[in-house]
Amino acid sequence: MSDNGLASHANGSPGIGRDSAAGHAVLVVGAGIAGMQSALLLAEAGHQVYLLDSAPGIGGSMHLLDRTFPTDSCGICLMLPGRAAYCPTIECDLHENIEILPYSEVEGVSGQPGCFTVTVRHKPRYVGIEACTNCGLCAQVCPVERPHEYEGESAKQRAIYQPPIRSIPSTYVIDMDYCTLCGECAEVCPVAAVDLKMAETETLFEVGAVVVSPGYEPVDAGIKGEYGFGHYDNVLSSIQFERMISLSGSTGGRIVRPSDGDPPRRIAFIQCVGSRDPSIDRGYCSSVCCMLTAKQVQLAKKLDPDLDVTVFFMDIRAHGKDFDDYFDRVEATPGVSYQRAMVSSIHEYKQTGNLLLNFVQEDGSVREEDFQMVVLSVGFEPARRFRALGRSLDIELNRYGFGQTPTFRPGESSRPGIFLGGAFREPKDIPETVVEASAVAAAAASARPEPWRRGPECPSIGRESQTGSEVGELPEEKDTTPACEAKPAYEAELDWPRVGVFLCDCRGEIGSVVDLPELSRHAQGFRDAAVVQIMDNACLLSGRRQIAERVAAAELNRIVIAGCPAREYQSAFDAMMREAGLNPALLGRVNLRGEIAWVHQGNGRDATAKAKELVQMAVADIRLAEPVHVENRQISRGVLIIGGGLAGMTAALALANMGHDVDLLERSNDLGGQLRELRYVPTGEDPVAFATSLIDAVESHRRIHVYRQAEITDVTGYVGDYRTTVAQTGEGSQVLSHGAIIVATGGHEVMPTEYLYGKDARVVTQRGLDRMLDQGEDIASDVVMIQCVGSREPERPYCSRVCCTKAVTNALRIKERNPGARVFVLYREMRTYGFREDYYREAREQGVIFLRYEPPDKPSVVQRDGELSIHLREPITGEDLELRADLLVLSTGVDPNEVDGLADLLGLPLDKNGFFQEEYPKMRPLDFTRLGIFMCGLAHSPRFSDETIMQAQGAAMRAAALLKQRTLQAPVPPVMVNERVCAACGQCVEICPFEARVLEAGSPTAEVIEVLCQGCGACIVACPNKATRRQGATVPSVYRVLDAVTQQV
Amino acid sequence: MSDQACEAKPAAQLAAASPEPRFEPKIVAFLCNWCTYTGADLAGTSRIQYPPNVRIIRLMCSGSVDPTYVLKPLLDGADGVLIGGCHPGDCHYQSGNYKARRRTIALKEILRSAGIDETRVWLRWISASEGQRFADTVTEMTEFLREKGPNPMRTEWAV
Repeated sequence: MSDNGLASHANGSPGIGRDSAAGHAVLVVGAGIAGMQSALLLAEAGHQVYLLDSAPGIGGSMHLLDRTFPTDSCGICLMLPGRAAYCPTIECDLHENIEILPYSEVEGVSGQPGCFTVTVRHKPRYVGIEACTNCGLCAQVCPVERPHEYEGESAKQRAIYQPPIRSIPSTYVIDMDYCTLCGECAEVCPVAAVDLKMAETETLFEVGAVVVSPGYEPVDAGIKGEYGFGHYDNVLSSIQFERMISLSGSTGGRIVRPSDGDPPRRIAFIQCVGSRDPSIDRGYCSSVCCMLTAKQVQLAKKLDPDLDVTVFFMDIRAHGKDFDDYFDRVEATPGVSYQRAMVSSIHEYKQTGNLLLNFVQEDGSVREEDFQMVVLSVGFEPARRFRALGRSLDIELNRYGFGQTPTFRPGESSRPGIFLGGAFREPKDIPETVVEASAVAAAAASARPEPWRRGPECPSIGRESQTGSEVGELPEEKDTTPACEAKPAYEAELDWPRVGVFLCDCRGEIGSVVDLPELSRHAQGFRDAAVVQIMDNACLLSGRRQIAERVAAAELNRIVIAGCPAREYQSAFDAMMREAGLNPALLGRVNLRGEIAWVHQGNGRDATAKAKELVQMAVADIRLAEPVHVENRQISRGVLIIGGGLAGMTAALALANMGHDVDLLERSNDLGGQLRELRYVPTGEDPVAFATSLIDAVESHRRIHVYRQAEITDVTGYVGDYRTTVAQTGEGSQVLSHGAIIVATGGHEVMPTEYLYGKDARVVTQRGLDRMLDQGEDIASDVVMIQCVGSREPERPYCSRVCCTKAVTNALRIKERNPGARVFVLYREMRTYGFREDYYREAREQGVIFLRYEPPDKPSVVQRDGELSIHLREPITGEDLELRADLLVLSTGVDPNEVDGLADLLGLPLDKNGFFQEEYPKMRPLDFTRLGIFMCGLAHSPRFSDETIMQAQGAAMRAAALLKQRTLQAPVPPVMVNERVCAACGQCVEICPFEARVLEAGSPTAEVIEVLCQGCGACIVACPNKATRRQGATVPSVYRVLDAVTQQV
Repeated sequence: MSDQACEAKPAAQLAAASPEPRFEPKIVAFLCNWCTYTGADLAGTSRIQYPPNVRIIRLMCSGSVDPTYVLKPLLDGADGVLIGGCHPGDCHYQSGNYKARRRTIALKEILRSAGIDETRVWLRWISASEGQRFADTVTEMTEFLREKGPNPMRTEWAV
């Protein structure tokens, strides 16, 4: 698996696994946002996945955040491949292709790509997952405390503690570093779940590929002793502050001073704590803290509008899509001030707990100010355990301890078959993490055309399922019946309802609160309740068999199971229904456990009364339920990719290697796009050789068909069945059919219109300088570079992301070529994020001079006596500077290619800058609302080539996960139309967010495109004639449910 | 009304007949599947206790709450209706919660003009991670309705 599949995949033959048996799953190491995303995409595409995390439960830093920039919302469920999805932790737990390995470490990897043997150590949690009911009695008696990781280290929890509640499993665990083995917990535990003698175990796993995304750790704010973190109560880390403003945090969203519980009036934020700081060996920029602080300021101001906030910073790095907009809004908020200054020390007033900040301003003057609270914006660092992990995996780490990957194979580690993604590779924000996680999934998946699956010949050795806080056993063979089976010959459901009510005790969880015998007696009286039965464990195979037997014996045609929530064991119960000859839509579920037993403890009488009503509501509902027969639509597995540049070609290769046929459209006569212009990357790889091999691989791949000089003239259809009319110069046009489309239309360097560009040959762009350096031309000794030319200006308000790094690395190349050269960089904000910061620092060390300017006072360029003269007003002193230049280099931004017509044909939105507008910037950065269309590369926003490659592979994986099967069906029971009452008014068409409702001209009724329907039900409410209803459920059934509630009033 | 009466006397009636006459309101809650219902289930997983006065009806989206779903229980004597959806910007279906908000505003207008106390209808945004917030909302609404007393429709519309 070298060269991103470039080397050996010309004929589509597999790289990894070519000669290995088809008996290996994928191991994903790290189950945070990245790991969960990789695992879910792989699982969706049919691969089997082990999802390992060193923490007691999965979820990673997802648990820290409940609102994220730039949307100030959560929306984490939207990162999942399908829209019908819960929180990612739940989805990972539910997915039949994912096995969670919590609280485990990788000890070693042997073998070859396609056939690794991984040794995994399972740490003892000293609490039995199966037995523990999370009652919390143990933590009440535990006499020792440990730092609370999630609330920031100053908060404490007991040595026996519960992981964050959304993690899975969230069962209690004992931290043996603090436990005194006093045994109190074991004594008090009512279910004998505590086992202080639990030993660690080891398991060997056979896997085909390994995806490594263990994330990051926040830098310990105490590392900067001068800020007094850990000594002064009112100095918080940004992690602690994040939890404080979080509604799920310890203060429930109130901003208070830890010292006295009073709300502070003045807060200071200090940026770059543990970032951009070589003195503590963290010379890199952590990329996200600027925006994280902006978000925290924004949320804090919402919680307390009178708050006075000062942010001390070096540069504002808002280099992501639309981040500048967000930052500008925050900066303009009344009561918020941003100060470019270095805080040198903090002192605490003993009496008040207030803090005196000592800081150096840009002009060198020193000032002091008082604040009531200080937040240290801490950077990311690799966790200490990553060193050991690197050794276990035998992969290279970079000088800071992050995973090392090459520029043009950005997901690949130094060891073939092991792929790296997320913040482990470089600090990054959530959208980039989601993209990378998708990309490394693609890298692992495209190693061979067929999915990675466990085989009987290499079972995981000697272990039992640990995933469940549940009794999760799936011993029976996998259910292969499609959800849309042919209508059964015997439509039992058409008979008069005979409902079987099964009351599950859930191993005592429910029966200990609800009086089940009483409930059972009562339920006998419900209308059409033919059988009422109490069971121990309905979810177990034995329980499901029992229910199926009763169906046959008592001729039941509808079932209600009262126990756990509907999402648990859904597929198992669906299979049970089919086995019993019933349509799964005729099963009703009542959540007695979550809605009653666990929330009304010690209140048996009211709990039982409520249970009676809930069960009656469910019986009333299921009595009227109808079978659902979801349309199963044949789809094309082929993918259309628009644009033959780096993004398009990368996506094409990834998909082709996963077994998809790809049509690649290129507007010009040549593949390559902007990649052809790329001559140099600072990491030393050869972009020209890379471009050549990539183009070769694409052109010679048997699954990729390239259409040159091609234009799209028409697009019809929808996900699974897009029909695109493609016209080629001189070849006429043809209609192509695809299941999905990837938009990779690219962008280009902006041609400047100012600073004498085009009027004086000594004024060039960075690209022009590239060419000069590349051709070995002499570089003059006085070089001036101007940043943000045509970027972050009214006509192009966005940051182009790449130009700062480009300028810095070109300045270094000039210095290398001609050490005596004087290079000046005139900038507004240096945005050399991530490890690019190293180049910035090196440039300063090499003597490159950086001078800041501020927009009203842009530099001006004139020719004087045949010389180029650049004037600049220094923003601090107000002094006018004049620089002489032999060469003026303009750092211009990136423009998207003109795609207005194409966007119209595809029905896709463009943002105000002409880039394609993704569905949801944070969690669905590659997707559109229109299903089955994805995007990557400069069509999305400006980015580096490694980022483009990641995005392209990510888009490919999204498409692959969607097209995994040859058929597609609605994710939930779709709506249907009663044609007799439909008046074809079109209100449903207007309200549908997914274009699933259509009204053909002249048609007497509106229709439903089932595969597009997401089941939200908006059209049901909108329909004035009530002609629309959800399949299986009728509006009257809701009324009957309501009757069941109110009859008891 | 369901035509099949139950043999056992409902607890609410028993309570009414017993000496301590504290009024226990009945709340119908329409919760969206993705945010608020998951939040309600989290309250369970976290063992957060709240009053047993709420009857949850899980719908896919708060945008699919038909105004009649709110009207009917109020006319039939339920004491309050809670609609729970995703926070603004978080809707699983992009804009369902905004639809719910618009409809609820209009519906309250109608309730007011019909002489029905519109403060018995609550619309709340509760995310999947806000189990505590769900429990707090139910507690708060229960107390509010206890204070307010029974829905007059219980007697005025008695059949």
